[in-house]
Amino acid sequence: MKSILLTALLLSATVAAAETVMKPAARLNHLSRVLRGHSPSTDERRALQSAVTEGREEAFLAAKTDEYLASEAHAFKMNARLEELFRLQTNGTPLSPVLDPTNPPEAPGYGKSNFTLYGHVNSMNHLFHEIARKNLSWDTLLTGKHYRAFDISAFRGFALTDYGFLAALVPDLKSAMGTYADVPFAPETGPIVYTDVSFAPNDPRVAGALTTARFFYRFANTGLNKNRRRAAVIFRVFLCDSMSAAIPSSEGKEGAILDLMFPHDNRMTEEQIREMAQGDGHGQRPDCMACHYKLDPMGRTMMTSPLTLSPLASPGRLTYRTSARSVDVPVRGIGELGAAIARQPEYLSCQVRHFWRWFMDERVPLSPAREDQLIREFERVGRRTNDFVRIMLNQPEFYRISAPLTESEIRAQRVKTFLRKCQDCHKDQFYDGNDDGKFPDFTSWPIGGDEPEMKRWVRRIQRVMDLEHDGENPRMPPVEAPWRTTHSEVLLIKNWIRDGAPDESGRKQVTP
Amino acid sequence: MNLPEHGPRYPMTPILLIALVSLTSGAAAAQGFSPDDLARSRFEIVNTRTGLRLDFVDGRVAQLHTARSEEEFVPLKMAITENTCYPASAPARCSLILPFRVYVPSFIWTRHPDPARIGQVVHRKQNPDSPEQPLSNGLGTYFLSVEDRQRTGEEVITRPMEFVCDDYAWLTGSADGSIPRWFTINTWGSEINTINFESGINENQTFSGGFNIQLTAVFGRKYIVSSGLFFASIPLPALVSTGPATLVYRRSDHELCQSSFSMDASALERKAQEVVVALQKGPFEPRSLAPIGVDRELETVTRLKKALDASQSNEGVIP
Repeated sequence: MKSILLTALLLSATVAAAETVMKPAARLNHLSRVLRGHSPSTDERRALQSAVTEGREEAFLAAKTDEYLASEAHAFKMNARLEELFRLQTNGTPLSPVLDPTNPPEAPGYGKSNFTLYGHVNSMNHLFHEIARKNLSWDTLLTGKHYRAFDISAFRGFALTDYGFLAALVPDLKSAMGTYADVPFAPETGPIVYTDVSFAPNDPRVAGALTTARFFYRFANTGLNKNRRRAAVIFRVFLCDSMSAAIPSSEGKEGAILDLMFPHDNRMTEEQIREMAQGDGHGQRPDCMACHYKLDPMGRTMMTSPLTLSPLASPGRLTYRTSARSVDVPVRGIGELGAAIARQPEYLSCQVRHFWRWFMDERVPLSPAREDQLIREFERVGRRTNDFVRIMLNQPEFYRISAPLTESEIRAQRVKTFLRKCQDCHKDQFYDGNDDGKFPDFTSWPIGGDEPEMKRWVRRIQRVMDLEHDGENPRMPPVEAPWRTTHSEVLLIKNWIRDGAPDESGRKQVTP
Repeated sequence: MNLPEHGPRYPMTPILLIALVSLTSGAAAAQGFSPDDLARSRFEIVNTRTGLRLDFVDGRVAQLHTARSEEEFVPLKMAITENTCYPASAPARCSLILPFRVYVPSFIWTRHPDPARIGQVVHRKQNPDSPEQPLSNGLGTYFLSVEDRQRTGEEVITRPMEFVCDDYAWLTGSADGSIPRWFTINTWGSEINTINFESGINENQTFSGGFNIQLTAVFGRKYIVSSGLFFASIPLPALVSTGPATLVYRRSDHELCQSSFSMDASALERKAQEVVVALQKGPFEPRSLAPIGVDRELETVTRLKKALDASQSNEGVIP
């Protein structure tokens, strides 16, 4: 009897699993869309049908995987993913595979403009592209020492081109350092001029994508900012630290501190910000130090290079803490910083999570055990990009059709998406109610660990969002924050609380 | 000429008169010119590498010439706002004494059926009812200073730039007021508030500056800028800020220090305005372009030509 039951269970599990795996045509479509960004051609579909008929669909799909991974479209797709990760403006135009000098890229609404060129034909995007095209180590983003420097005619001589950016280190880039006119005239859509440049493997001044004109220009620096913005991006992209400014604890100076963090869309002068920072001791307060203790030493590695790359390396430190350990690595410059980051386990975990997000259905969670296993695989293939992409494609989840979400799962997901925005700012906030003095994770339910705590936090959310009056007079997000709740978000949270703050299974977590 | 809203544009600064002027202003205004007037306004551009010539379809010829100012100078006041290495030092006040020249380009008729027009500035009329404007208004004015020796290889400026402070303790840490004979500013960053092409928003940002700025003491109380490696993203003097200026240098123990200054560039704006107004009256030298001009002039004139060829009624006529 027991064995019959077991067989029945196994059978039903097998049937269920079979139902969730894509059929060959869907697999080819999924593979093509994920790797190339578009559907397979009619010819490819026909060829697949023949392969299925002959029982060699696995070999066919394996061959297609190789073909797609070697394609320019895949390199462009990875380039676009990285642009998004670095929050760069993406024009959606592929980098011309061979940089055809007579045919520069064209973007809708922009034509063959030089800005379009600048957005694509630059050393940072070239590096993104090459990482996939040549199956380079993912670490090249942090440790690369080889660049293709481009010279764009309309930006010729401007410091924000690759030539101007690298000129202090590479004297051969003659148009450098603000030369406006002593290079031969090139028409707007003329030949794309580039120079390949290499630095010594231990050069402390150079660090892959971090020392490119586009990165420096995207995250502009000021004397007051001291490269903290660039440091925050590095923490976010490579160590998955969201680095949102923390909301200060309630000590009566919230307004002034918030002004410092969100300085009114740059309407405040630097003098005003400086005055405020001194008056309120910004930089020493625990809330502020939650970010500054790690941003400031990293920012120092770019101290000598405000816009273009300085010939002088600037020493600094890679400093941060996790719940398990403290990291503090002195470095001679940004080159060593990149290498130091690439040695950290948090970097490995973070990069694996990026790949998981890019290649798996967002509904498929990455368990800690799977993450560890994938990190080992990432290491096994020498962190090479396409080799690791192939590993992701071989994961059983890649071709699995996720069951449709239930209504309560969708609702819980939407609530958590909203609460994550709150969490980003509150994550480093301190308050007296917790043993470790930290705010609880709003997306980990029950908030605070048990039902009474959850109830307390739900009530607080209710109050600060003024849900009673449909969010008419909210205290959160603060007026200085760069985002506002929409009316539909207010209703979402209000109704969720009214219904007992149900979790993914629909179970009420709080008595309404 | 319709440029996309977020399309290519040059970084502009509050000192507009010394930045490039867009040709797009008022572009969509004109109607009502006769077809003959529109047709004879067409021209071919001849790039002689030493200058630009416009050969009009009706046989008229114009040459680009430049009026060049004498070597001028202007003191720009700077006040220290932050000093990471010697925070207790006195709040110094400094001046950057900036030598400069201004070049104003103009198209001059060299062949014209009306002999009285020879040697006169070429004008454009965008609308039958509007006054004529110099055709060169779209070309901008060039402002050259010390760093342009690096750009052009020419000795455009002979006088050195000076950096003078009432107290140098912020730089040297020295309490007795003495200053070393030589000092190196490793990085000088000049800030402006301008658009970030990537984010589309205006923000303060370092946009020009220099590396290894060598200061040489003169009379033990002031420095001259004897050399440096300059960078710039706008055609403005690299060490001039319309926002803060940040200097990075080494302390005697090799620790890197950062000092920030506010800089008042309004004196430069006023002085440059005076010089430009005087120059616009001519005379225009036959040596044609400013040393930095030719590529940008050609690009600007090419844009104008394209606009005239494509849609003459939107760009007016050249009488």
